[in-house]
Amino acid sequence: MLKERITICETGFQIRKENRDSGRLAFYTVFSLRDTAIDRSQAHPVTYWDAMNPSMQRVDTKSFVYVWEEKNGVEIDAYQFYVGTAGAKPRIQWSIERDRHYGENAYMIKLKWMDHIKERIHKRHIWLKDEQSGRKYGFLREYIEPDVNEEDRYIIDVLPGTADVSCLIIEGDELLHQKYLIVR
Amino acid sequence: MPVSINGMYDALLVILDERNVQNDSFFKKELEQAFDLRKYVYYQNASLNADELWKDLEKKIADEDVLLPGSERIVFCTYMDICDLNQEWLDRFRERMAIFKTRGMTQDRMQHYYLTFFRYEANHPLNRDKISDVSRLLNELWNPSSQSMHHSEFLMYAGGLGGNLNAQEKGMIRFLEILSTRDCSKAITIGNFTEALFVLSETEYYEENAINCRKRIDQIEKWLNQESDPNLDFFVQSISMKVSEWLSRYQEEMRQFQKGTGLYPISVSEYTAKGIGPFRKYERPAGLHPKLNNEKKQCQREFMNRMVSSEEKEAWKERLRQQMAFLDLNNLSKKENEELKGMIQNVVDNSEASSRLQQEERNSFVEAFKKWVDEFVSEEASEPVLQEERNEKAAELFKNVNELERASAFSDLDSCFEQIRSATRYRVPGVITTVDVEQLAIINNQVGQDWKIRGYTIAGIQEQDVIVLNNIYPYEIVYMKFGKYIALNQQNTEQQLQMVLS
Repeated sequence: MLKERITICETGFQIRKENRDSGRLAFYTVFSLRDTAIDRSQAHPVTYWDAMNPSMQRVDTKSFVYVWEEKNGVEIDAYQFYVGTAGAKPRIQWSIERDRHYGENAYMIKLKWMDHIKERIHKRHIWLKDEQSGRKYGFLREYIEPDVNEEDRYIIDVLPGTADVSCLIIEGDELLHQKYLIVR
Repeated sequence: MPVSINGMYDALLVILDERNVQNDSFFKKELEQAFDLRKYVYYQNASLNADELWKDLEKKIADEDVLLPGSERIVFCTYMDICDLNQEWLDRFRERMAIFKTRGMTQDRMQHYYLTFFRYEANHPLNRDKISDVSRLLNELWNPSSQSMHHSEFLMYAGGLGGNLNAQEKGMIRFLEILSTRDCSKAITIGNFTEALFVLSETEYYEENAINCRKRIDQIEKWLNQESDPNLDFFVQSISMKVSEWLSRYQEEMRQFQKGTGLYPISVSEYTAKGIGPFRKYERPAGLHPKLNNEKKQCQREFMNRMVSSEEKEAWKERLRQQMAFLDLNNLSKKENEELKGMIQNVVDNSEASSRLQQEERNSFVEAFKKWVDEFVSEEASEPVLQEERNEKAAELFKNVNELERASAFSDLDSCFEQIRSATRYRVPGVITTVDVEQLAIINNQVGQDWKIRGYTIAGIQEQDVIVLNNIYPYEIVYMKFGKYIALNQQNTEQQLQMVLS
């Protein structure tokens, strides 16, 4: 597994060679949480680490990196991670509160970027989840994004018998959690 | 009383198979069954010189590919055609002996041991010159000046029928098994096997084996020759059952989706403000939110993915595998892709559970379930798989028919005790008299216990030649005998070889 051969540090990463399977080439590209897909056209080759030539691939700190290995031109393994985890993570706070201005059964979801680190985030990284049923509900927008108050607000309509509001939470994927702390 | 021996693994077995045979030879298969993977090393036509062999063994032991027991004992065994015996082989053999000696292997009989089994195929007789050559080389093997390690030579006489050689090869493997156990010296006196070509034979009897073999033969013949699902009705039925289960789940999933549409968060910016001050209200955009359709599609995709990778698929395939015979699978393998798809489409379209689905949903359902069918066809019903399966079954059938013949040799354990010795014959031409040098019977602990109460006797065998070993079936008995066939270093050696090998 490529994942097990990668060491991530504050300013970059290094990859150990797969001993039993030669002929692999490694590449990386950087991306952000707003990207809808990985752009492989910006591929940079990676030199494998070895004891005689201990090399580290430097990347801009606080970037998301997508690394993949190819053999005979075919992608055979990949891993993505965040570089720059040192220090406290910025927080995204969420709340769900009743707001009758928006309807009899309406609740407002507030997302707030707490530490002045803010960015557009593609909806694939974050969603509403009913912990009771395990079902996930995607935001009906391409991105969540902070306004001037560093907030983004949404409305849900919780009809009787559909969900228990106390079991609704905001959840993010692993990448989002690598960069942010999602707090209530 | 029979002798209980410590049958623990106590010597690493190294096999050098130098015969010109296919990979799936009877000998190799039996070897795989008798020995755990890490308790022996098998080289097929590896033509390693002594140094390479030694280094390779050391590496395998260091990498723990094989286990060298605490005794550090190694049993080497070469299996080769006697027609390939030549000066080059002899030199290699001697070099091996010399290297082993320098690496600390002594001539101690209980330490390392080198066996050579020469195969002679009666349908390929040797000419006079070759036999003279073989005679000289065999004599050379026992030249007193070149004895670096204890060794013995055996003749495996292939009389033209598979069964003839198989009984000897089984004996050979049993012999190797005994040599690899801790108390082997209580069973066999290794010092008896010197300066001659020895022969061996083995008879096995296991009371229940005949029933097992017959049962297995019936099963295989039925699988090979009878259709159990000629019109693939069972196949279609099994698809139908699974499809309706998953369709019901799908409907429930869509019902849940519909019920929960209000839970998909809509941005406040999409709401329209109505009224002013404290009476201000915000109205949800009218109609179905345009992005909700994408969410529905996502939900459908996730459902289909769950279905494609569901663990239920394995149980479904297993049930089909058990139900469908070769001819049914062959029939299935001839179905075109579109025909299979049509089969599933029919099932989906005719299912009551699909009546309220749109055509697009039905199609994606068909596509997803087709992956189950494709997987089953590629694993079980593609042409190469079927061919391989049929070959395997044919080989298994052959093995069981052979085994049945042996297993039916005696009517019960008592008559086996009476007759097993006389029924075990050396499979070599009687032109030369074979002199018995060793014999032993192996029984399981169950028979060993019975022995104490019932006081069995095995006709012609002393009790000290009966050993209790637990690597055989309960109520199985194995009888082995070893005979001195052609003495080496004698004036008439060549003459005797001429009588047997030409």
